[in-house]
Amino acid sequence: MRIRRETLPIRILEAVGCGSIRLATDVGAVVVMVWRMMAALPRLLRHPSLLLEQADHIGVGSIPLVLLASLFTGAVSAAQAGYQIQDYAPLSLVGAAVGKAVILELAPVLTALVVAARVSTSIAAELGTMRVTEQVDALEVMAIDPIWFLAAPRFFAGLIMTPVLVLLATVIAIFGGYLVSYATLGLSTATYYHGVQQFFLVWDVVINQTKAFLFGGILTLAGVFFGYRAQGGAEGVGRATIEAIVTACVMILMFDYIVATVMM
Amino acid sequence: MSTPDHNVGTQSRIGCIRIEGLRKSLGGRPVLREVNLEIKCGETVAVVGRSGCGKSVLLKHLIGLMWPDAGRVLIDDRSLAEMDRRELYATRHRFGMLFQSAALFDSMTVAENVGLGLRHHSKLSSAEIDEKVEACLEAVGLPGVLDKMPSELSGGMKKRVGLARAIAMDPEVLLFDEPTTGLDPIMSAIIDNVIVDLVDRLKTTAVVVTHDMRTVNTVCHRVAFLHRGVIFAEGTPEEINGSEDPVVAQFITGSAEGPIQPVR
Repeated sequence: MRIRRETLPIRILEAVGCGSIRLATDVGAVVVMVWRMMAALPRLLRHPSLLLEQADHIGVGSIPLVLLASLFTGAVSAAQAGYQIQDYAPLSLVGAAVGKAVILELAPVLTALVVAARVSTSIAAELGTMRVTEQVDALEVMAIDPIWFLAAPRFFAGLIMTPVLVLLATVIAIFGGYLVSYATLGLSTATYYHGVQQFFLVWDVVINQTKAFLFGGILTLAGVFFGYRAQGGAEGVGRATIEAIVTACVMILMFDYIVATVMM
Repeated sequence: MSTPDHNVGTQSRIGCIRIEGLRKSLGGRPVLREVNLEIKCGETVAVVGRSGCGKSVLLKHLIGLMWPDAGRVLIDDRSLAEMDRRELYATRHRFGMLFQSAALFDSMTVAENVGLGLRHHSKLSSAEIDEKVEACLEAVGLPGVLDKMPSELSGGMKKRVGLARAIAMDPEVLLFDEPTTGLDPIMSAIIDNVIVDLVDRLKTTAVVVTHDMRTVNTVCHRVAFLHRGVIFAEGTPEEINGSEDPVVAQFITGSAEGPIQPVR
């Protein structure tokens, strides 16, 4: 028997074609899921306990982690800024450098990445386990829409709570920068905060919150989407969890660039 | 062995199910090739067959948890595929299902599991729901476990809680997916008796997917033997037990020798 082997270009074409179809299917599925979650919002608002429970888990539960991460983010920003500008510019600019970097970039992105590590994975694992153990099917049989009951509360809680966390992270990171500036660079409190205020723009906070809102949606959507379609037992749940965190991180960085380009 | 003496026919409210030319492939492998089956109102029908022959797949088609590649499922002469989501959920209101793994929500207590459907769909007060939940648990012989978590229950108790959850909404059709699999003979007999009692008392139509012939003989009026993706034989439990067809006889006697070969 003669086995016909495809040539390399054909195999590349096939791989690209299959990948494109898979990508288009996934994008379509995400759009449908977001649409269904939006449609579920009015009903969700009539049952606020579902939303509040997730807001507590996603938002309040992430506070210690976000505080710790943002404190060190601010601290290292001040240390780096001090090290880099000490030979070229006055150290009084450390406050400005930390303020700008934290508000525009570090607080939204690093908070989103930290929260994604905690929340996207936990959502994907939780929904994935529910999917493979037929708990999602059980909801369907009980005529309870899993999108409304499971996905929408997590998604909207992420949208609401991530901006709050980012705002908190911004304040704490600036404070972390102050601690290092005061303790190791010898800056006074007034000098540091004057620096922060010197180049402060309200528009920067708008960018900060826009990013936070978008990232909150991305990190919960990734968890919900991959968890909801998990298949094949424990291995499938593990795979869904990995896909959720990887996708969330990549999309956060991608959209960070897009927002920066559009809004700055 | 005799057919159970609970009556067929007029007592059931509604719930005639017809399966026409159902085909389904999973992962490229045809599981259901051409399934035709009618389940009359008030009847308890067992779908039997070897493990992996597609019994659970067939059961999931009855309630729209899976969709056929070809053919259709009609509930009271209305095709599931033609229903929009609202109508599908309204139809699902008329069903209760016991899953093979019980599929209890592991983050909820027994009381919350059983009462979930009532809380979302009924206008009962909290006290009335609690009362009904207790009555359902009483009906399956499991009082006093209201505050336990599913992880604290044995396999048989989980099945009974699943059963209590399935009957909480007063369904017109009950679906049982392997109700006695993994249980000891005594617990299996207890579950069988609970099913007979519930079906009789609630006057429901029931479909029982199983490969346990004792359950079939205790619970069902009619048996459909699923083999190679089609309903290979159909009849009363007595007829199936007395069948001289070598395929059916091999399944009934549980012999390793015969026309049915191990799945490779």
